[in-house]
Amino acid sequence: MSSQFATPTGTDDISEVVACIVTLARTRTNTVNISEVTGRIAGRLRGLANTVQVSATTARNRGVVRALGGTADISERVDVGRVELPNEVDISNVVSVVTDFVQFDTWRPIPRGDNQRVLVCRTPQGDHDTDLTGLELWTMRPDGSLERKEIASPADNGFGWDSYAHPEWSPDGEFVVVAAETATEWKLVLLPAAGFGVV
Amino acid sequence: MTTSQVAYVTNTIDISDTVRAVSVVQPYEIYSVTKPDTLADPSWHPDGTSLIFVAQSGGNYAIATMNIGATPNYTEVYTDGTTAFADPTYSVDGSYILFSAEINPGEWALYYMRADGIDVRTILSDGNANIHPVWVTPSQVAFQWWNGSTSQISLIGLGGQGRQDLGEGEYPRTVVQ
Repeated sequence: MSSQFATPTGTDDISEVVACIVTLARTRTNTVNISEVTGRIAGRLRGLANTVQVSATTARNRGVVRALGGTADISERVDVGRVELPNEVDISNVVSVVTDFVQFDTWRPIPRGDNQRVLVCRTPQGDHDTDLTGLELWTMRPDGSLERKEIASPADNGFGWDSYAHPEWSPDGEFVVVAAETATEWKLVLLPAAGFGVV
Repeated sequence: MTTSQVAYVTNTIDISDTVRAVSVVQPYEIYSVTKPDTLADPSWHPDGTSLIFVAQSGGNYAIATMNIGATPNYTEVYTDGTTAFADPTYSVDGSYILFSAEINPGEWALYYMRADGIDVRTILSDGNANIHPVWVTPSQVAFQWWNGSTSQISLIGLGGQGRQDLGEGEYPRTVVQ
């Protein structure tokens, strides 16, 4: 038996930020939202959609937008451009306007048993694993694509928790266990996870 | 069994949360304690029938298990009084438990023991904060440690031999295929 393991690089150093992410919106619009477009990610866009909303907050990113054939209309904080890309996916409707950035620290990747999805923790940028009050659980493919938020932060998930931590897939991928904190208790909680990662 | 390496994008910038769907799930509580007692670091037995975790009560830490089923049963597997434990995890065959322990303030050592809490053996105790251990093979583990400026990932044999420092990283995980 041979074995290797996965380890992400540190997430505290903003200089190491992989400065863009492509996500398929979970609506029927097939909208693709892209933040911080870079040349590295541009190639991926063409395989995902023919119409995208692009936000660009730096001169470099605006340049990429233009290089893709779009325009970058500059506003005060977030610049929104629309880029028409070669048609590889039939997009019949495009909605979604970039309104703002929310930056995250993404950490603690946990591969599911079938390795088809990875569960990760996300916290507001800078909180990383030291302040879990804003923790969200996301799934993604091992290549980082098809991100999906599965469990919202304690303030938004309606579970009555103050915080939660240490998610682990069950061996069959049907559940995720977490340790959850309320005002008076600590709990071991199972989250039904059969639908996690389902697009 | 073969394995392969998976690399992950770690820093991302997300936008437009409003267009995302959030799964609607109903949490299922299986065990609770009243504060200031704590529960932490749950992970699964490889057969999926029980959890192993760290319980703290009155300042005493224990590595404990809880079966998942109609008759939950809390069992303390290992405790030595006041030492804080973290990240207990079963080996693939469920025969051994790997964990870290804070033997001095800020100093975490790596240990493994039989699944019944017998025969605790030291893997690494070098004065550093060695944390988040995971099994790589039945005879090798990966772990995270702090070199004074950044988090590092290393491999080491169960007997403390064959250490390999792999460079900067955090939260190592074994990917089994």
